[in-house]
Amino acid sequence: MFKWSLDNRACKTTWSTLMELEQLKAVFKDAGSMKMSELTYWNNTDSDDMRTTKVNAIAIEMDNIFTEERGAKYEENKSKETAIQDIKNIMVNSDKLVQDLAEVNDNNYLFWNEVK
Amino acid sequence: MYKIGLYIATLIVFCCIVCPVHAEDAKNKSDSCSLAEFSSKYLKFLESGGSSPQSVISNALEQPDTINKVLIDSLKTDSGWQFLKDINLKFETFQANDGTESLGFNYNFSKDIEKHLYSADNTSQSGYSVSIKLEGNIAFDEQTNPTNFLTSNASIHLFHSQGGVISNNTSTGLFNSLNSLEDKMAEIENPDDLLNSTEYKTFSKEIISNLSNQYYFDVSLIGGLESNQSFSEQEYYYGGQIGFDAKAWNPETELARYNIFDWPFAAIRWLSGNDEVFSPRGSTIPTLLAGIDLVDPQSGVVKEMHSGKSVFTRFRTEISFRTPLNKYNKAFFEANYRYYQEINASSDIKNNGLDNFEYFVTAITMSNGMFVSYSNGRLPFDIQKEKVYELGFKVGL
Repeated sequence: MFKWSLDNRACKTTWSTLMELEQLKAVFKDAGSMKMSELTYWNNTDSDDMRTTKVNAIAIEMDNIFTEERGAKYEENKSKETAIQDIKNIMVNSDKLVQDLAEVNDNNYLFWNEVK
Repeated sequence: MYKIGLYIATLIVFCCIVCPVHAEDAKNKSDSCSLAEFSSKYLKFLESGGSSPQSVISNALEQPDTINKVLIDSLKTDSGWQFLKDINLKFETFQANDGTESLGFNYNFSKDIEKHLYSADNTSQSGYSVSIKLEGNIAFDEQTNPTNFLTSNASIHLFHSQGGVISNNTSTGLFNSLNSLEDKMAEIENPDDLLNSTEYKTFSKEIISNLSNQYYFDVSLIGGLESNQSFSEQEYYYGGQIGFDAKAWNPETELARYNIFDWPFAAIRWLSGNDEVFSPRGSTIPTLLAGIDLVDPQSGVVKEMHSGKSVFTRFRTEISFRTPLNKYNKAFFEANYRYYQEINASSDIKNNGLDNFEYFVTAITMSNGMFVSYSNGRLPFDIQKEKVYELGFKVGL
């Protein structure tokens, strides 16, 4: 089972990126257990079409930050499409956790100086 | 504008003054209800010997949160129900205006069957996706369903995202430096210490200086079915939709500063000491959807009213806004507005008020589950216009 850990670069970079995108303001140890419905983009009153539009934009921006600002590359057999789609599929589900988001990011990206 | 301002002011007063007083008492309530109703039920519960072990167990088993817990536990194991994992399914108690309650559930499911980027450089990405979406509320007693409107659709999207980051402005030295700062930030365990730390400020400055405005466009062909939960009212719709989302990720940009929708809330954050300066959030610029559909009614009142023609044309739009009320993102203001207008509607339909549907909902939500909301208007298939105030708690699992 995936563990929210200080030793995992995907966890730390997912957390710090959500902080910079103003989606959460929580310390690292508390952030992993936060639900998607606790992040700024999650408006409880939105239609699914509306939420999907917002999430697609955020998923692309998250990928932009990982690859352009943080030096991440895609894991072997992974691509921009799969990485963005996996982020989106987590973020449209209110009960998914930040930890779940870090897990798909860990699977799709090789972060800068990440130890495997 | 005056009315909307009044709603916002009312919600803020409720949230800041009324809610904390009742917070502890109401924590045991599984879903939303008014304070008066909650007090009355709590007294009745105590008077009827409700604190006996049998009564407590019986009540717990009837609570939607108990069912939700069982559901989630089932999905964690290889039980054959795992296909439900991607469906966001939640049991809830619905309450009609006359106080009648009924158990029910809401569901939503959204998945890209396929996604492809056919053009991607460093800061702009275009592509297409094929998606399916399902959403709705089902109450075991339909009369208690507050939003008796189910939609299921399939869509093909062409999308384009422009900007968001400033490319080629980074180096391996910066990547190392950001990782090092991130390591130190992650070890800080107090939110105030984190936000005031040199590491966070330096990290944030470096990241934000390389962020730019992002513009996301989505054009889609969409087709689906709308109905009430008994399917006595149902209609197919086919049409086109555009979505637009602009975000000023760098708060120093003009677009962020001129996010006028956030000005009242930036003022609240500033005056309450949550923000050091007046600082509208560029990340909260409202998102817009608009579409034109051919609607083909199959049954119900809408079908009867359109007996002379098989299809009619409808314009619809939706605007969404959400912003934090404090610096730790523990309280939010959110609002959603939807409008449906039949084009060239007959005088009969206009006279019966079925040519347009307008629905506005606003709420203040808190991370502890407390919320206060106000909704006004109706969605398609709602005959009556209703104003609903709610004050309550949503307990997370």
